[in-house]
Amino acid sequence: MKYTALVLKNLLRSKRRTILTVLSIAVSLFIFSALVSVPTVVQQILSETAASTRIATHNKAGLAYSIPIAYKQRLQTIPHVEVVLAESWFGGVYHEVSDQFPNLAVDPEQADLMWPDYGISKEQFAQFKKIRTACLVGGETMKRFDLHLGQQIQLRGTLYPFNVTLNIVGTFSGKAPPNFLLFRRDYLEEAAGRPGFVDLMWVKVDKPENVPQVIAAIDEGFANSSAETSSESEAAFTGSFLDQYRTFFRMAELLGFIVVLMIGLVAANTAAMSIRERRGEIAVMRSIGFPARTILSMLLAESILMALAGGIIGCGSAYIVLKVFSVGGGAGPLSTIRMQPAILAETLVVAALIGLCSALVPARSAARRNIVDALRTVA
Amino acid sequence: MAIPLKYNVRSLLVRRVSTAMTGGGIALVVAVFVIVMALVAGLNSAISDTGDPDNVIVLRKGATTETYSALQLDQFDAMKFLPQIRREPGGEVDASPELPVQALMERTGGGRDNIVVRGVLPIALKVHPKVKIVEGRMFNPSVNEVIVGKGLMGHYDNTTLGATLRFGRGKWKVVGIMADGGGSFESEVWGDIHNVQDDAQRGAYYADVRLKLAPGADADALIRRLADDPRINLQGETEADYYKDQAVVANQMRVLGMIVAVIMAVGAIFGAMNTMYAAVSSRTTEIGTLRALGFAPIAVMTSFLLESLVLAVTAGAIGIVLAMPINGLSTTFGNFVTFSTLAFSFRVTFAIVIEALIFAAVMGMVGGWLPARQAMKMSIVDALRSV
Amino acid sequence: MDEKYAIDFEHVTRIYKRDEFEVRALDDVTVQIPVGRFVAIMGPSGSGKTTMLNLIAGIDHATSGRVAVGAEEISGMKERDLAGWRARHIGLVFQFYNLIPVLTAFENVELPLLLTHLSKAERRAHVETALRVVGLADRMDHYPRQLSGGQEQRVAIARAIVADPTIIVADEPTGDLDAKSAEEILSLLVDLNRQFQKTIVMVTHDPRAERYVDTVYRLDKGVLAGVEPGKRGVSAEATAHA
Repeated sequence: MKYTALVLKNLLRSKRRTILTVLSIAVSLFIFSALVSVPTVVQQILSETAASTRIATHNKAGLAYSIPIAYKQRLQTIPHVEVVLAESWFGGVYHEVSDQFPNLAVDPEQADLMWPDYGISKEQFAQFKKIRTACLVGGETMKRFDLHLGQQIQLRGTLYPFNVTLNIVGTFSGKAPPNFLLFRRDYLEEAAGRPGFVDLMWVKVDKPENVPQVIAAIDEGFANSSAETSSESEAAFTGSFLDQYRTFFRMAELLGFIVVLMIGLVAANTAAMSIRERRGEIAVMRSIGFPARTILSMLLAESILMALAGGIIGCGSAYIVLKVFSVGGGAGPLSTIRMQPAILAETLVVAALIGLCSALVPARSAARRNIVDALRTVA
Repeated sequence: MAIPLKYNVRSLLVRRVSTAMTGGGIALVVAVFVIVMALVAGLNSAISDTGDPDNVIVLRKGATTETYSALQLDQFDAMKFLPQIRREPGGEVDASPELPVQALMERTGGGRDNIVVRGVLPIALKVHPKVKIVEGRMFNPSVNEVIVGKGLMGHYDNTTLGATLRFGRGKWKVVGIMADGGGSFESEVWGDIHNVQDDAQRGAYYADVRLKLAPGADADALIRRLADDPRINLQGETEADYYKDQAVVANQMRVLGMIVAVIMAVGAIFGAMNTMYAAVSSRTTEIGTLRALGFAPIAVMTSFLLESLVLAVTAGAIGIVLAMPINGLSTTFGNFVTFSTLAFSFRVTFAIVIEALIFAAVMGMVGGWLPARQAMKMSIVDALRSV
Repeated sequence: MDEKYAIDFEHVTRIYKRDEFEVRALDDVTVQIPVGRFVAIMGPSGSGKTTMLNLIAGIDHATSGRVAVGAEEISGMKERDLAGWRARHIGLVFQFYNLIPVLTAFENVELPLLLTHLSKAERRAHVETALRVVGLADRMDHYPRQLSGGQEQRVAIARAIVADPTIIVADEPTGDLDAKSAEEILSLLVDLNRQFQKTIVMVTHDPRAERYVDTVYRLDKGVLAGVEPGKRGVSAEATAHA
């Protein structure tokens, strides 16, 4: 394309202006792509749990209320239910108070059937079922505190008036939450001396299609009892934790929108300035014989190219930065925000659109302007 | 010896569109700054304003928040008669045992959030004097009555006076509305501690105790006694310290917000730089003339810097005005530290307005610096030649 | 330095570098221009007349040689000091007027006074006087775009005299004007010279100018080619026949 050379030459003509514009767009799109990634993390987490056949059943009043362990047997009798496991939150502290990570106690029997997707090897599960003080630790927590298999750790109790001493027998990966620690509920029960109540029951169903039916059966079964239940699929359960950040998400989206507006203004300004300065030249080109349409496309191509360059730099940098530093908020599930490839594409589309729209008005008027009028500004 | 400011102001107005677009970019950045800082200020105020300077909070050793703390009746009985605790004229000791429980409540518009239901005894009102009942009355003990924090009204169902609020395992009558000067208690529901214990089937445990210091009492001495006494053996800290630690959420948001605003500012600065460079190059003859007339090079540089500054600060003021409607907007925020929802309002403080203007001024200075220097460094002859 | 010389050039050379090329705009020019004269510097394009004017006005520096204006040697002055010196001693008139478009006629004329310590009231008095001298007192609040070419130049001249400079330096003052306006401007300059004893140095290639000046200095290719008396007072027809 012979015009590409012209377009490039024009861009390089005022190197300073081109660089400043590209950088301005790059910086703004850096922020934009980072902000837009925030809500998509939710989608990503939810989609990972979408196909799960697990149901979380807890007290209808909230997670701070408990349900009787006796419910376990009743749950096991419901059709399509394969496995039922009880779980309680321990909330212990490892080392410093700021070194928090989620730690819970679960029933060891059938844990491998409940969580086959947690990447725990058969041998490690066997150990978990055999040793009373066994615990399984998520990969992220292992790395964070430099823990290894076979190590003994102590968690100081906060909710419970005692500490627990545990032996790490395995780690999980795959679809498991990467920072959790699971130990055995019978160990907790014995130490607590408060038998009979748990925070949550996990119920595994044979097929995903049967999940709604089982949820209904569970909640109806315990309606009007002293501890009514509320059951939800694992996806919904995880989603409810993320829901508390909804203000945060809305802010991120709003900011992203404002950033795009800002870039639009800056780009439009630059485009108008540079086109205005070249009015005379454009007139000369038209008097030579270049059709208005060609001139319009060249001017638009310049603007779009700059915007895309900015988009690639900005989005690329954001991708790298997010990967290198795990950005996000502490103990929450947002501890890692990573950029999806879809965001990269979205950012580039936004960049191209900005490039197009910002130059459209000045380019059209310059390309269409009465040649004689325009030439007068050259003389 | 200075070039008159009206030269700069009129020059800005002459290139109206360019000025407006650059100004618009800066205004947006400043607006973002104000919105984010107002969020942080609102959060911070809701969290840290809750602390009473005379109170000490007592938790289980090692617990970081009330949520994961539990202590027993005999521990409470042992601490009640410590000398550092204030007493009411009638002899009652200002010690408030409390049990906050996260209970799901219906949001207006659908969905449920964890709201803190705090089981308290009537003495709590004396220990937390900032909490005032603004409508209705305090609940009667051993009945399912509650008072609701005014921050919850409008966001959650059945939180108005006289309504029947459903949470936990029962129904509760709202007999009063309380205000806490914007602190986090306004996002809570308070009920009788025994009823809350029963409802949550927690047995006879408290989560924490709030103690009011007697006038002149030594907080450190009390805290040491709480830890050392074998019958008590609990961890105490002043409420001020306690809530400061809780504000970690607000601090994280402030850092994130600043990063976003600064990066956006960089983008706007590049845009402003572009505009100023264009301004300088289109006014080369004027610059040459001014220099030839005898205005010192520094006067020229200052003039262009001022122009950039005037543009930026004016745009900044507009940005502040754009963001103003958010002041007082109340919303809710899931605080993962307390595992419950906090109602707060955006607060555009005077300090934020000043900071925003300074921020705008800095953008103007940085963006205008290099172009202004270029204006200064031009050779007069070349500047006059370029017609 | 002799005080009766308004301008004193001693072996002044000015070399410009344009990429790899060296241009000798002025080559070893020595000349003295007496005080109180209205003189013209004339010559073909590229003769160095504008360069000479720039050196006199202190907006350019000689490559070698000594330049003294109004008994002060300006060849070695730093830019910061030159700026102040210009403000006090030089009044500039340009071919394209060079008025600041966003300032009114009044404000344009006031500009040089902002570099002095006069009060606002004093400045106003001087500006009004200057505008009256050039005959534009009624157009004080007009912007340059609302004035004709001739009027703009008169405003520029008012600006040049308002601070009572030692020397008025004019670069092609009639270059962009029609015949009638040009004559008006030249007459005005003569008046300034006669009535207020202002030394005026004018670069021009307008042949009419010869009838208004005391002396004509001719430059050619950067060298002083000749000095002649002007044809001041001689009528237009007479010069046409000369």
